[in-house]
Amino acid sequence: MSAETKLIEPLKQIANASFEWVNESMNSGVSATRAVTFLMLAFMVSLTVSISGCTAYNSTLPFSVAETVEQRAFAAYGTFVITEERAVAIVRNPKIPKYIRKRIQTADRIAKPLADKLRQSAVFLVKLRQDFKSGKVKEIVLTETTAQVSEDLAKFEPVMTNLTKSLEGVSG
Amino acid sequence: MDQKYLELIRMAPTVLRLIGSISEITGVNKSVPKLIDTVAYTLEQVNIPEAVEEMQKLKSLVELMVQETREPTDDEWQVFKSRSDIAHEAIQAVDLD
Repeated sequence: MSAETKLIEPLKQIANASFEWVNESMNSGVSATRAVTFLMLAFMVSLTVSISGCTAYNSTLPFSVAETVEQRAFAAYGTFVITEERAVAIVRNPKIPKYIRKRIQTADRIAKPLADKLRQSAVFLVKLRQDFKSGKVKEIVLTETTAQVSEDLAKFEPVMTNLTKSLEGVSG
Repeated sequence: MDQKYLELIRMAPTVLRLIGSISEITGVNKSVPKLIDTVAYTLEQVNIPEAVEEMQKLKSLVELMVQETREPTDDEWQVFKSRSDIAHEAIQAVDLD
């Protein structure tokens, strides 16, 4: 599953959380009819979100169209930023359990420096490539730096996955 | 087709709130409107249609770079960096202790 597709997971998990809430309600004496109503609502939300995750979200994969290492780094960084912006709404939402919000906060604290390192090395590579074209640097330097950015991208991927997983919350 | 689903998601909070109001009027258990409101509120806050649009914009930008056989510019990086800094600060500023 791509990082972009995983962005949809938080809402699926929120829908799942409402299922759990229903279970708790049933245990605390809510009638079966009402509990079924809750379940149907939770199912509707979950289904709606899943459909949008399978179609709308899968059709938008910035990473998949990138060709060069710099473009891939840019797509990955941009995806991270969009994820981070969604996370703000979740972390600020007092209706979502604190432990989930804490997990998101921690994942972001770890991901941010690595994302910035990736951005810095990719920006440096862009400049280096320009210098190479004008004959200011040797090919070996460009090759080594390109390899370094690829390595940064590989290191960033699990951290990014961790952030999106933390957004999944509840069942994690 | 994708746009239809986005519209569906966009409308979901309003529809849910309407169901919640009906539940409240008809005197169903108080927990029902509360649950509906929580789901509607979260859908609004997370704003999936906006996220999808953001992803589409990013994809278009990368496609443009590929077409023009160019790399991302400093300004393009800077826009995302500023957004990331703002989001990061907002996430870390929430006191959860």
